Amino acid sequence: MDWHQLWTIVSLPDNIPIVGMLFIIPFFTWYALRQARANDRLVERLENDPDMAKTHHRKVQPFKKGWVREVAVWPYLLRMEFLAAIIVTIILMVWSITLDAPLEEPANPSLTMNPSKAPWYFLGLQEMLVYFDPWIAGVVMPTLIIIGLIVIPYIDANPLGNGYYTYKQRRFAIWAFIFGFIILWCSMIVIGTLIRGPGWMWFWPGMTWDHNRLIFEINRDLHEIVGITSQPWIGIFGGLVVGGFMVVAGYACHRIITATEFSRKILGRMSLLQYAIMQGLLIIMLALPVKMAARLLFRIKYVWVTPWFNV
Amino acid sequence: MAEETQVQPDPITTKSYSVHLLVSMLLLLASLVWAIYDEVEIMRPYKDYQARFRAYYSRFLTELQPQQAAKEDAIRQSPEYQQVSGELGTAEEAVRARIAEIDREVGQGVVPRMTSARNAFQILRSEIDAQRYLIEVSHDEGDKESMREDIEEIRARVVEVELPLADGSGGTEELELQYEQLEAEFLGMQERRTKLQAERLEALAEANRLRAERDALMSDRLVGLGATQIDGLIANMRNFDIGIKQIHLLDIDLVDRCESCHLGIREPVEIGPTDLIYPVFQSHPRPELLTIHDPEAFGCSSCHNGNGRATRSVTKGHGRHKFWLWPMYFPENVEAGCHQCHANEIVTPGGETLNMGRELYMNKGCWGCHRFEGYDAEAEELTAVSQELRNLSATHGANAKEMRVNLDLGDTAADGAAAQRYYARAEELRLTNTRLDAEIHNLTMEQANLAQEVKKFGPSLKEIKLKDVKEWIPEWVKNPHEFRPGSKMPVFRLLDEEVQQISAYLWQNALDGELVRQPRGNSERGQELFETRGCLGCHSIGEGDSQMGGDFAANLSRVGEKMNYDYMVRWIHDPSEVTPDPNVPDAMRPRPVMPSLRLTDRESRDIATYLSEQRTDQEYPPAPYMDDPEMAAAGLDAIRHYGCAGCHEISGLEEEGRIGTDLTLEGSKPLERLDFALKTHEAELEGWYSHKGFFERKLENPAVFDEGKEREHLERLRMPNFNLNAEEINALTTFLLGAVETTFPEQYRFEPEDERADVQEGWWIITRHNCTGCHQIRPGNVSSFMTIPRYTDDPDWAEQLPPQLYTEGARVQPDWLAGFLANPALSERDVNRNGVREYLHARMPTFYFSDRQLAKLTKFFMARDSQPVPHMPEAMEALTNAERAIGRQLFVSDAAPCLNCHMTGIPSQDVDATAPNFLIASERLKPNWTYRWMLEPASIAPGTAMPSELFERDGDRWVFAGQIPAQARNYDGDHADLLTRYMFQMDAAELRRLQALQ
Repeated sequence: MDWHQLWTIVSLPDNIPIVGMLFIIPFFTWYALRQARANDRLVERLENDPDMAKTHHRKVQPFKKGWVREVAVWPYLLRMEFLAAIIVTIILMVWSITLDAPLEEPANPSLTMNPSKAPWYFLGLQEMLVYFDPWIAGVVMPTLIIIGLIVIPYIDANPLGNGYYTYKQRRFAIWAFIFGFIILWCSMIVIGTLIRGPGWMWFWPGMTWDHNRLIFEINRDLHEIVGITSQPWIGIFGGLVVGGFMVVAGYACHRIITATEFSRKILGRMSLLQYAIMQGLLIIMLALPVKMAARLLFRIKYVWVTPWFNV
Repeated sequence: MAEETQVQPDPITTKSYSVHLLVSMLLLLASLVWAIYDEVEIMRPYKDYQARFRAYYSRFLTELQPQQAAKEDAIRQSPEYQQVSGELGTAEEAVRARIAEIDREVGQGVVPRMTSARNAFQILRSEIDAQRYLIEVSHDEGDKESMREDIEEIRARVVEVELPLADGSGGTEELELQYEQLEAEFLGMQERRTKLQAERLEALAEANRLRAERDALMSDRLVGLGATQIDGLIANMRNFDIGIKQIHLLDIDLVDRCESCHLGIREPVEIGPTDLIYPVFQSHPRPELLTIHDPEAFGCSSCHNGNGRATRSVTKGHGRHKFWLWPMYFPENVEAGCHQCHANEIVTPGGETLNMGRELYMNKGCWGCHRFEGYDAEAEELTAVSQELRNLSATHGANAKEMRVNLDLGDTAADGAAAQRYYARAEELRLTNTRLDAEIHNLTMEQANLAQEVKKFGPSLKEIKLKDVKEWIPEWVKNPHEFRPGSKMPVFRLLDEEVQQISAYLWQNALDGELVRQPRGNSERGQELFETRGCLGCHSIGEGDSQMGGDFAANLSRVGEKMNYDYMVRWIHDPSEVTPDPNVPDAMRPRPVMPSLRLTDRESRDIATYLSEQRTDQEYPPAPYMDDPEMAAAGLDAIRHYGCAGCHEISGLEEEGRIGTDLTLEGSKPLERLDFALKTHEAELEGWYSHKGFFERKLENPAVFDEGKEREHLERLRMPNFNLNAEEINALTTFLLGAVETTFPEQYRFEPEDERADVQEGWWIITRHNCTGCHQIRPGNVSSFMTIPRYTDDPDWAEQLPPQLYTEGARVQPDWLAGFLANPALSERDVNRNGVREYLHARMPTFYFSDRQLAKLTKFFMARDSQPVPHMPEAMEALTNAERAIGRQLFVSDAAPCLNCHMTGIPSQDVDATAPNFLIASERLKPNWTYRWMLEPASIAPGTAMPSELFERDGDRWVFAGQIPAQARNYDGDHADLLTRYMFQMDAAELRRLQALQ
């Protein structure tokens, strides 16, 4: 266990946000879910007590007698925001006093640093380059992420859950978020920051980042494992595998979408176009962990090799 | 339901957040205060440094001031000072009244009157100027005309002015003046003032001269600053501004804020490391360097490295930071900073560590494997010149062919015009080829010169069959330092089988030849010769405490064990004699480093006999494998692999290149490109992950970065171990650290094109040929001879030291010097002697310099003594017969027994001679130098046997200090000059007359 190495990585000014992220994201996820559950209980109570539902409009906190019906933004919300703003300002002040901007040596065009890392917020993208063709990981995926984020309001057919925390009413959306953002995106940033060392090799925390480390790893394309060697067949075989994955993943997603009465009702409100787009995005999102597993566990480089692109 | 009826306060509307807000606000305020404090104090640590400096330095100066004042007083009390002071007082008194008068007239009369007149005049002139402008811009001739009239009117206007009287009496007069009169009044006063000031200056001239004399007296005698100057410094400290002190050089984009903390660096008072408590405030330890390299023009970090901009902390400012690529040199390597601008030099005055590193690089043979620009430049130039020659010859041939074709075409052309064209083309080609012939001729000469200069670092291995004991060879190859500790041949990490293979190849590919059988000589005479002829200038003998001699060449303590006697005699007699190689012409073979001492056959045999007795009784095991052809074949690969041909001449490997990396810019190689291998992490943890750390460890143990590696034998690091000591490692590290790609523009680099370039060039030849082994060329340089007990202990032998060459350029004539260097015997027939100092046991060897080297060396000595180029002999007045007679008398007078010491070339006379032959003075020496030499020999060559004070001053001439011979008493010329002329016009007849007198 090389504590010195671990401390070097963790204490790097560049990596401080990531170390913070390790604690902050689980905390706020837990905190939001806690509030959501409290609200869910309130909703249940109001549903069972129509009188109360008529007289009391507040949707936060387990409701108590004697509380005001509605709480105004001013001063009650704004004072909290003001307090939060002060605290954040303090944190930023102290941070900027104690940690300098992480400047390094002057760039040398003839000498690439190793490991050569993107800014922390792009490390997820950089990590994706390990698993996909640069064209897929660097262009197609980021574009789809942006498009996917843009289209969320247009494919979200669930009218509930606006303006308050709830889990029950938006179970599907919350799980999609937890899977896509926290499990995939954030963990890839953490991997890129703390795990990837010289040569973009995998170093468990506490291992020495040795520039001379050599590991024996041979990644092969899937068709090589199967034994297909000539081109049209390679492309066709890969296409079939990818197509097969899409069918299976699509079916699995469909099962999840139609798992409960409530979600079937929401599905009923969706047009075919909305459904197709959502399925498409979900399948691609699922493809990432599947490809990661294929690479990390089975050493498969590409599944679908064509003269134009590789998947 | 009971608790539901109970009214609970609404947490959102009732809860007070005042405390939260208050605490947060206080924290915010605190962070703001922290930010300001951080900005003002913590990020600006130099403020504290400056406050301390101001306090300590003021105190230091205040304590220093009375001491200096006391010293000044002591000087003031001295009779010389008093005398000048008195004279000054008298001179000032004499002119005081006149000066006061002038001052009064100028101050109270002339200047006020001039000012008043000028004011009135300027008003009128402004008005006229404005009118003129209107005329210039007007388009109406009529208007112009009327405005001109206006101007005339202004000029004619009479102004009433009140002017002070010019005599300074204080009175005024009222005048009515016109424009021109005012101007005349003003100019008149101006002229008067100039005149009075000139008069004042003249009156004070004598006083000023005396004052300058008095001040010079003070500054000459006072060590350190005067009390007044210190007062000035104290006043400076009172007005000291705390703030960043920086040097900004626009053209190299350099900002150095070093002096924000190192405040004493440039102070005129010498501040020791503890004078101001902290060493940071001390003054620059070598202020003379700052006068050559003014910090305002060069900055600090340009030499020292470090981060000149950083002021946050010592670590950052000194650049001892992972991300700063140019960390400040450590004190032991500080001279590395010189090399980037002095890259053309092998000797940089003042850079002793750096010079030692360069010399080691040259004389440990690093360049055999590692190219470094400037080292072994001759071989590189030879390659280039040979290539150029081949190209030119090819062009020449092609031209000749085209010429013939054109001639043929011309002969068969259809019409006259076409034939003319062909013939013209042929003619043109013929001319081109003529020019090419000249160029080829020049290059061929240069090629011959260069071929004569190329030397391999080690001895030729083509000779070993004749030279060495067969069984000894594998022992040597295996570990040369065991046989000869400190040998320049480094220790390779060879397997036993590699040793055998290499030995076999070398043995089987050495040249066969005939050696003359030599009878044994006299060992005792041999020892005497060996110790006095000059061998010890380069070679050493004896081990441990009894070792003596130079370390430029091999230690010969055990040479008898390894070397064949017959070969040794041949080698000592003439190292340039080589065994002919059927495959390579002699002219193209590298020359040996060893020069010829022009020994006779007998002397050579004596020395060889002595040396062959230098042996232990170690036996060497038989080596039958050395005759096995298969071993030899494998040996070739090993020799290639280990780069033996980098230093040695080896059959079949004449064209072999260097196997090491080019080190010319090694210091600026990115750290990541230096292979720390498995030591990387350790180096980072222990703080030597740096160029310095790498070089030091690599030089100490070249295999260090192989440690722990799993590698095949041939994949391992090849650099052999030189067993360097700590000082040598530090010197080489300094040199390599300084070997950087400079970012400075040309004007910063020391690349002179005048005679200073000759000095730079000369040092290369001097270092390569170890001239400093025998001669002192720079003060402080200790020759090998000066360390030999015989020469240090016995005063008679001290006179036998080879001459100092401090002022050789001023002493001798360049043509003579070139001839002497080419043939130090100065004779074609009697070659076995010293040309100048025959009485010396040590001989100036014949180095077989090329013409180019002779020119370079001559220019070196001339340039170092600022001799004009080209050399123009001084005109010499011919002696009259009377003068010649006086000269003769002086020459042999008892008080100046020149002939007691100086050689004359007559054997009976020269037996006891201990000084150069003055018969050759006229062609060898410069008269001017000779004249100075006779007056003050000790100041030209400290420790010389030539007596000083032979002459004494008499008015504006020098006269003989001893008993003046009768004939010379009436001579009213300069005696030293007369003697010089006498010597330069000496001939054989005169010499006979001289002898007759003795």
